[in-house]
Amino acid sequence: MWTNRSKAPLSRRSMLQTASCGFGYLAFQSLAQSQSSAATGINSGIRPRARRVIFLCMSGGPAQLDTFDYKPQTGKQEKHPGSVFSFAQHGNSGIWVSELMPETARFVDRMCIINSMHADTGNHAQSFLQLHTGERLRKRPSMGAWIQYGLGTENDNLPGFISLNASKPAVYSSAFLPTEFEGTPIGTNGEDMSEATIANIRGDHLPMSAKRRQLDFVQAMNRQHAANRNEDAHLNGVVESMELAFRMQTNAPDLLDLSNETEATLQRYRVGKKLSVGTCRPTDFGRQCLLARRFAEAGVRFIEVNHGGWDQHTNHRRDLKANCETVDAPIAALLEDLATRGLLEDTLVVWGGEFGRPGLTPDDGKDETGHNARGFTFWLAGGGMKQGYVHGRTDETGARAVEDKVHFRDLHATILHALGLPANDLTFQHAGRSHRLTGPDGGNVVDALFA
Amino acid sequence: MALPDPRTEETVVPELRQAIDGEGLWSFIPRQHPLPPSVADPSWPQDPLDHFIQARFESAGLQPASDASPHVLIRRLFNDLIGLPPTFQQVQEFERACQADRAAATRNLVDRLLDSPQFGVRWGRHWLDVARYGESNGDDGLGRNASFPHAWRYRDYVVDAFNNDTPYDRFLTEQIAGDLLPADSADQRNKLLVATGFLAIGSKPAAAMNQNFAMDIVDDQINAVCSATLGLSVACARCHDHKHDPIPTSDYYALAGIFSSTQTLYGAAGNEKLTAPPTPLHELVERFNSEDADDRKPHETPKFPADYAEAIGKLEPNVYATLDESPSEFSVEGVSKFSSDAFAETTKGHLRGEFGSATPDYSVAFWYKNDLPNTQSPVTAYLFTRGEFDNKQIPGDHLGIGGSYNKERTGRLFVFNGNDKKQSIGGDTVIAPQSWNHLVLVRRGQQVKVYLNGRLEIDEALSATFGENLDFCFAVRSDRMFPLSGNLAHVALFERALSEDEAISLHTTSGQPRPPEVVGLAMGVREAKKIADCKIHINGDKGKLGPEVPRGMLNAYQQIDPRNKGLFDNADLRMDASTSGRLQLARWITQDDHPQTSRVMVNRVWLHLFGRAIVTTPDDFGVYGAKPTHPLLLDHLAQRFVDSDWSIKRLIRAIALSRTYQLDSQSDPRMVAIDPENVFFARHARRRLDAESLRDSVLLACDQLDMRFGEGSDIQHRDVLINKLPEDASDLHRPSNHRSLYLCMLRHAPPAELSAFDLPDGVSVAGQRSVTTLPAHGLFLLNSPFVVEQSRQLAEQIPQADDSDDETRVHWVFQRVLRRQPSALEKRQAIAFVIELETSLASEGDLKLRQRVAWGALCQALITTNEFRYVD
Repeated sequence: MWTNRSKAPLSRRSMLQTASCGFGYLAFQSLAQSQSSAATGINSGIRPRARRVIFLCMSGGPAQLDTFDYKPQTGKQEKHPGSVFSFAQHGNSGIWVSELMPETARFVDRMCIINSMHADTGNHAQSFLQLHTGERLRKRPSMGAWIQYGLGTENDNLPGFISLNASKPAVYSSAFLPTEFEGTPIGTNGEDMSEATIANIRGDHLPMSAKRRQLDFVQAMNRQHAANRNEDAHLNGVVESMELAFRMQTNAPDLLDLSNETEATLQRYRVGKKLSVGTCRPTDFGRQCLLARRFAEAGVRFIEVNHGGWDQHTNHRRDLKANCETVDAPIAALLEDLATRGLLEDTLVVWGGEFGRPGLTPDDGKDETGHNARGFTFWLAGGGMKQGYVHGRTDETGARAVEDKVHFRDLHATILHALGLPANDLTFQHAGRSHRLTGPDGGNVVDALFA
Repeated sequence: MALPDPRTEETVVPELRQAIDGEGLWSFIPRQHPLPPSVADPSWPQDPLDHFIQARFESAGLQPASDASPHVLIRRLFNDLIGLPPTFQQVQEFERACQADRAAATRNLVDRLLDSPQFGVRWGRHWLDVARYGESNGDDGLGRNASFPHAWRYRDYVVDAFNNDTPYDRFLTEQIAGDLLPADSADQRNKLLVATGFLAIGSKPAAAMNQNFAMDIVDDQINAVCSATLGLSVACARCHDHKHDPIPTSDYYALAGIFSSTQTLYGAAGNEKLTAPPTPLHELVERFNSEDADDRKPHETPKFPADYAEAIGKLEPNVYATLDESPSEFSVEGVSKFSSDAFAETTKGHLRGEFGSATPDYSVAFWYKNDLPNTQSPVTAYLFTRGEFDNKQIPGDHLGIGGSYNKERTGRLFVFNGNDKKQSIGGDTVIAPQSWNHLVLVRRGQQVKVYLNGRLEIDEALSATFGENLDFCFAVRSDRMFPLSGNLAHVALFERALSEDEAISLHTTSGQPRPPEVVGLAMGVREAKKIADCKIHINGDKGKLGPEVPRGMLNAYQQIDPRNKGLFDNADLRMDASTSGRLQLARWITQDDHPQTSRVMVNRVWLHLFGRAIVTTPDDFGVYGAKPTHPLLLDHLAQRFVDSDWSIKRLIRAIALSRTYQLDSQSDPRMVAIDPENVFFARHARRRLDAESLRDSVLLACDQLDMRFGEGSDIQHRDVLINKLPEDASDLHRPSNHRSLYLCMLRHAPPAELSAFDLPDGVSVAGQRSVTTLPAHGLFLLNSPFVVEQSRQLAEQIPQADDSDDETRVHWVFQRVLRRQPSALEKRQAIAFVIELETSLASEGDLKLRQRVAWGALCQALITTNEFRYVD
């Protein structure tokens, strides 16, 4: 039985202390159970394949039919919706990838492509929220917060959840989960990320030892303040957050500083390359991907890397091309580095957006697409997933998923499962009922995706 | 009379029927008039509203928290009503007053705070969140972010409106249709024009390659009005009918016709027409435009009186020509046409001559008209040069009108002194192309003054670089660059500096009306030249037009509930072909019986006083929004609000004096467990200071806060693309000790002193801010230059007299920052901390310096505490 941590036998204070020492839900379970002499082991019984997640979030609805879901014309006289770009087979797996993703295509044998995603709504804001939190309308904890809640952090000196170029607070929120699981944003949506940093990360008005002494004094007062207020969980969360801020001062500046990367690396990631074409914003996506690798190496649990601008209603060809050009090489460089450094073994890379788009019919002169939540593509890589594998299928025009359909809640369940977390039993009691990332309906772990 | 049962008159599409039955359309149903429900403990309520709260928490089995202590209450009231903490002395006085009579003391305090000018600063900011206020456009989608140098006037209007307790119905009407309301004075007229800034300050996508630009502005206006006032998001209806949404596309385009019949005055848009084509702005004038002045046609050649030449002659010009015929005083090149109808007409020509002596002081006066648009050429026109002709270094004074080269000079007068010194001085007035204007340039030594139409426009030092040379020319620069395309008349040169009176008399004696002095410019709207209904844009695209929809209100209300029919019966709401319909729209929204307007505002006020709204989606009262947790309370408050003439202050007063508001935030843990989100309001919410309150509280604690109203804006003279400047956009923010409301709220480049703490982005209506808990907050407190500097300032003020020991000093710091005495333990800890720091910093300098650093660290520590940052 998986219970809410706040109902476990340890006090909230000690719970928070353990959380700050890098223990998460699993470790806590074990601790709580061993203290109550009912130890059943440290894990959930699920073999963890991945230790961390890099979520390449393609906001706006990437056009799956022009990238990874190949819909050849079926040879009848009338052309039907499909792609307006050409595709070719790649790698040993022979998976079809469009001409817009030449660099990423080199890693297709590492990828696990799901062509049968579906979601509930074609409304950007709601579907984007559902992708992140499992819930369309209400403020709920984000996937990164749930995962941190489940696993804790691997690096006490950094946030366990970092969102690069985040679009809005709702998608990195911890909502009712303890505040230490909230994501830390670096840069805001659409901003040029080439200079984005963590504000006020340094300050030389006091030596570090004096700052430590100062914070000790503050925290003593804060603890007294919270104690006088029934140990208000939020206030205690702020105490934790202050500690993390303090520790970040020593670690984060180096991580954000790319000056020790070689010119070749910067070039591979296209750091500094910025395209401003229609909906495609000049955000320095390459720098984000390189930072993601560095954060992954440093033990950040959940890293979200955002690229907006996939909502190309008009000028579809031009803007889609620019978006693909922006993300293609940096993603390939990231996969390459993760693979060569052995990190892809236990890092789950997730690529996709809030929904997809209907296909254009070649030669009919149209250059305008809308939203399609009934069938679209995600791909996964690393973290114990199958390699060079395509899962599910949309119908012949790509209009809807028809085989092995995967809903966001199934994707959420699969990601949790890959991390060794019980998809539908990772719960938190709030406002009188039990909540989970996979929502009231629960999600199905897609076993077929695992190697 | 029995109310008609809406279900017997079935005119509603089945999906809407479903939504009504599922209560999704609750906000469209007319208000109920509930009596305060009876309660188990009748001694508890203080105000009728308390009954509604109590009945609900009693039935949920909750016990209310006890009343907040005076210490807690005064801080809550200060923060909620004026956004500042009380001082230690104010806390003490209030505690004493409460001992005598708590109710009276609280009433007095609430009244005093509502009367404070700081009230408008606090509540005005709440409205600015709703109004998506920003002082720049924000990213236009093409990577440009144009400044809005006049947006701040709308900010000041909002603050005044809250301070004056402008009735909310009037407040909305002014913002939607102020330009159409009668005014008794120029001041009032100015205020009404500024109010319409609400419709103009929105963030706009770039106009380049965007055939829907005009409709994008209309869309922003519809969304702002509907979300802010009705809590309705109608954006979807731009493109298609949504089966569960009560607002059909036809309703959207009925509103769209109103706004497309409206001209939006957003200004120069950084003088980058790819971002947005420049528009005029509202001119705020010192006195009313008389009828004559309104009839003035500035593009027509002025009719000068017969004695104008004589009047000019009295000032003894050394050279003078009326230019109604070819002059003998100058050499004329390329100007062929002279007439008494249009004087000298020129496109590439000029007039040249020589001064009689190399006098360092001189004056020149003339009338001119420029025909070129202000952004067509790098410099729109050079009007006059004094300096050597055909010298490539162009020494001398060059008077011209700015063009596209320097976007801060576009359409404005400037004087440039050549390539050696490269100095330039300029004016503020943007001169409309094709208007006749009178100029006088007066040089006295190194000082240059330029008068425009009888008013001083430029008055600055500028090195004289013409030397002993005698050349002058009109209508071109001395190297023949950027000639005037237009007209010249009555040119006069003086080999002396004219006095101010003389310079102005050259305009006065022309018989031309002096335009009322423009004391400022404002963003806003006015009626468009063409009033027309709007066609449905299929899929929201201008390329595909459907049928035309008559301008009008949202008809859905009548379908949803026939009782709403009354909303449409008012004769004042009829539109005719001569008006856009904005005034009628404002009247429709602000009818007493409108089911949403009062509910939406009451809910906003409740949110700011309790931290949680009755409808938790304050900008969305539609099918996707939340339902009210206390529907009867909402209707009760809305009715009171309307009955008290839509007075926001009276509404706040009633709520602040209720028992519910004055509850402690501390409650029995069992009650918290039953209601963790405080849905039932059986206790008060503990809340973090928002970005503005935190900064203002720090400044106040450190005695650095300037409580006077801020004036203008850091960018009020800068029509620029803020992200394309040589300097960083963040450098546009100037240091200020005014309240945070007055910091420059550039979209996508917010002030660093606020940006860490969940500021709204100013792009969409934001009635409720996010509240995050991030390490970024901790880093701000630990390291930000602002907090460090303020702490240092506070440490400087600690009493240093010999008889004040460390203990006294600790008391002093606690009183200042936390408004209380330290406990014995805190005192010991604080002193130990300071001494330890003084000692550990031994290598950092002499004792005095180390003491300052250590006490500064203590001040910063207290500012960093949760006690400082959270209000119980």
